[in-house]
Amino acid sequence: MRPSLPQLEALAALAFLGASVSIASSFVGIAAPSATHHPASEDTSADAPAPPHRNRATPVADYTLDVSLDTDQHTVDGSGTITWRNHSERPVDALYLHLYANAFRSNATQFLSDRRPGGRGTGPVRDFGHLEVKSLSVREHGPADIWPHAEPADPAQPEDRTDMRVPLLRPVQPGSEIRVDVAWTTKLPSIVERMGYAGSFHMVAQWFPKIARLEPDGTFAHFTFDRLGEFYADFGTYDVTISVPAGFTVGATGPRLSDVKRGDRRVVRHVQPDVHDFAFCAYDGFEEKRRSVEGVDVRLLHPPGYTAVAEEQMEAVAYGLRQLARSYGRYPYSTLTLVHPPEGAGEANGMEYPTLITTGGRWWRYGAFGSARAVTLHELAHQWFYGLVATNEWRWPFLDEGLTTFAEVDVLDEGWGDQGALRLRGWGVRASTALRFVGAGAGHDDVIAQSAPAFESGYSYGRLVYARTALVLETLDRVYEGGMRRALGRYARAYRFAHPDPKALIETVEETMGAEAAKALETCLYERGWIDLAIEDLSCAGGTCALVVTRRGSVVLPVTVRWLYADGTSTQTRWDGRDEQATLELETTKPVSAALLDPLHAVLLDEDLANNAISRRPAPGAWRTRGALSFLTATGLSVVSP
Amino acid sequence: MSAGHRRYRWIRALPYVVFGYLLRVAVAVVLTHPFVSVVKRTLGGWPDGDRMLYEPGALMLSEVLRLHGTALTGLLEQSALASLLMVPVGAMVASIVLSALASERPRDALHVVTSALRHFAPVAWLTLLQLVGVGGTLLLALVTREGFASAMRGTFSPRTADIASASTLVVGLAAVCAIVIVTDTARAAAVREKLDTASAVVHALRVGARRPGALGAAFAARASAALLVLTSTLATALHLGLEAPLHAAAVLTMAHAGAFVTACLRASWLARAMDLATAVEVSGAGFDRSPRSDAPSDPTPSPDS
Repeated sequence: MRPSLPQLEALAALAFLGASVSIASSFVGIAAPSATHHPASEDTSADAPAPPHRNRATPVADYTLDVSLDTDQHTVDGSGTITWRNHSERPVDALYLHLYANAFRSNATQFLSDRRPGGRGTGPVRDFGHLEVKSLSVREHGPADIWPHAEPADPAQPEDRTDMRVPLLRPVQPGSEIRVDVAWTTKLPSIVERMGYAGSFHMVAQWFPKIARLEPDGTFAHFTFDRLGEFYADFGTYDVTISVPAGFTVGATGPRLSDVKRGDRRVVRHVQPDVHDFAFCAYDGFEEKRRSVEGVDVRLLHPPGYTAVAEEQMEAVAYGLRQLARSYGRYPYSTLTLVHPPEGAGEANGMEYPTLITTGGRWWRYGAFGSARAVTLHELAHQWFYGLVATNEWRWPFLDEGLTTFAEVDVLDEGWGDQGALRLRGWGVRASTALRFVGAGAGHDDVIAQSAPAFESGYSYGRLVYARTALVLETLDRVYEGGMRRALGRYARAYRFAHPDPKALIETVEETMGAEAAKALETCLYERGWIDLAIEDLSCAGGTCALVVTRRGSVVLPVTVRWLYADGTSTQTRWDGRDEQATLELETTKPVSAALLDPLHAVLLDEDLANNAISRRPAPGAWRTRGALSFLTATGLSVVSP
Repeated sequence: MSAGHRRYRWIRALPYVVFGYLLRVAVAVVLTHPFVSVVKRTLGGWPDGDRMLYEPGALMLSEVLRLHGTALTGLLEQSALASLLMVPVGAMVASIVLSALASERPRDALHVVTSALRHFAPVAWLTLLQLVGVGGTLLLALVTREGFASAMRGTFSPRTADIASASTLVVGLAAVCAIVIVTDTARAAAVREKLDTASAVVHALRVGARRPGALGAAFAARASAALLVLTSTLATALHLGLEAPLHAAAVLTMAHAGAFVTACLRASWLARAMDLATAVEVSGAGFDRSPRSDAPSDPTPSPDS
């Protein structure tokens, strides 16, 4: 019996719909890196002249801690011993302790009373937190509890107990060592600024009394916890035993040495030398992925339903570990833990701790969207810039965030080509394009090289410290043909397990790339450096063409000039960029049709790429754009008109 | 008219479909001209012109957006507002196409236009009803989905909650399709059976109740074919890109051809809706004029033929 027309139409509808879904589904899927080699692997200049990197840190503060997490009360009870060494030139008569969790004690703290817009931690805290030291004594000075004599380090902020000064009974001489016995309780806040709890998920970071970094001159780098600022401490060994309820999974810094059940508790012990912080998380809903990459045990903890995005993050880590090691030196630890916080714990997303990183994002943000791989690679790169090169994040936030962002974008560009930020089948957005979009106009906002509290808003902090810094580095890398990558490779190796400042970076850049590059970097970091290259005029007469060019701004960079001939060929010359205006001449017998300044867009910092070209022919019609936009609009108008 | 003949009746309206499509393209060219002008002026110094917008990596595209984002946003708002003026124009075009489908003298343009003007009021009201109905339904579906997802999140994983709550979007989409089917059928009935707005809606609902399968299948086949055309175009555009001139020309030709095909599919659907509307008795006598077969029986001759 012949099928009826409605039956045929129904079948046709199913077939067309199936075909549409099939085509649409080719847009989704994990985006694995496509490149398998890194040009830097062929570039050994970063290794050859640089000093071999240290294999171990000089331990200053070792923490042996025993803690118990109460997931109902959201408290961490801890006790332990800090073995601390005075490695400075002067005797020390007081210790400074970071008690970061006290930032969430009340709305009177510097952190919670900060009204600057933008950045993390701007939402109201539903449940306050604190860190209460119960006792603190120095074994070498007797059994007396000296904590009652502790006071806020900043007398101007008596309500803020994040930065505490503890007078010692006796000075600690240079080269001497003391053992500090401490007991405390940390009440975790509802999740805010990287730590706290959301449901049964507990992100336990900045949770113990941490001795501030002692500089070689004998001063402590202590500071009140600022909402835009991060952390700074000395290297040492962390030996931490953590007790959690039996059904919880723990992700923590360093390898796990033991994992036992004691009644209704699970007790794990993690030991990690050569680090300057320790964080852990506990959750009863994690699923786990594991992979060995270049001898590193990579463990990824994620909530249920996040398998695909977790897979993409694992691919990114596997690729990133190899690439970053080639550029900046071997990853020296045996483990790396990735934690994807569950929904509702977004404040814990995107953070770095030694050998532990948190990623985050929605379950569907992978494949076309670059955010999953970007945040993973960013936090991974922090293992070098912050973890190994342990700069003062409060004083010089750009020194870790900016370099990390550069490294992240570099890996994305290498591995995902023109689709690092957005990937749609054959088309995409390059990661460095996204970087430029954010950072290009920010140069006038404020100075990059300043402390976190000095920024007026979280927005300017983010744009300058992350995007603008990385854009400057990317520009210098392109202009000096990979020079910045080589310079950072040398810097990362020279200052591994050290605490350099911006001067060290600039000196390394000067040694590797020359004085001009170092000057450009300095201008950008300290003087709101900016640049806009432009072509004013092109004229040709009597076998000579003259190109009037302008360099606006304070940054001086050499630039390639491409002269296009009417016959389709071209030639290139170079402009040193020193003069603010110059007339460049070309002797030629062939008619010149156009001239391009920086044709390959090496100067990504250039504030306006549109004025970098001049043509003696009529402007080409934008027929592609006209055709595409008219199609899209006509299709949209079909809603109202057949 | 035989069943086979009637199946291709929409071709009678082809000249008017072409007119409607060209009108849409002309309006689109006008509406998008400011954007094209911005692009042309921004990249005027570059010999490659707007080809640079489509280079892999999107550097120059992002640059144009970065430099002129504020202005382009304003232009977008203006274009969106201006496109509202197409609503009455679109209603007139719809009326012309429907009149051509209903007329026994489709080649007589004056006759078709006169008929279209006579039926413009109900067609316009039904067009407006369709727009408001579709818009409101989509909004309701989105809001319901949010609420559903939030309610489920406490018990289920975010992924499960999001996927399950997407069912409200499916329901919403089905409701949108139903609204389009009913209003299109009502428009067809208004022209073919010379009904006012309310009567046309009632009649369309009656047709839907009597011939749901035929109506639904007719719409689904053409809507899904249009969807396939659009997704294929998008996939081809992304695959080939607009950078190389030959690729760009091929993609744009394919795109516009595809858009014209969807216009023809729309006309085909309207013709089918008109046939089904004609097959059911308008006066509500309660009987179906045609046997329940794939082809309706000959329609009652209209005064126009």
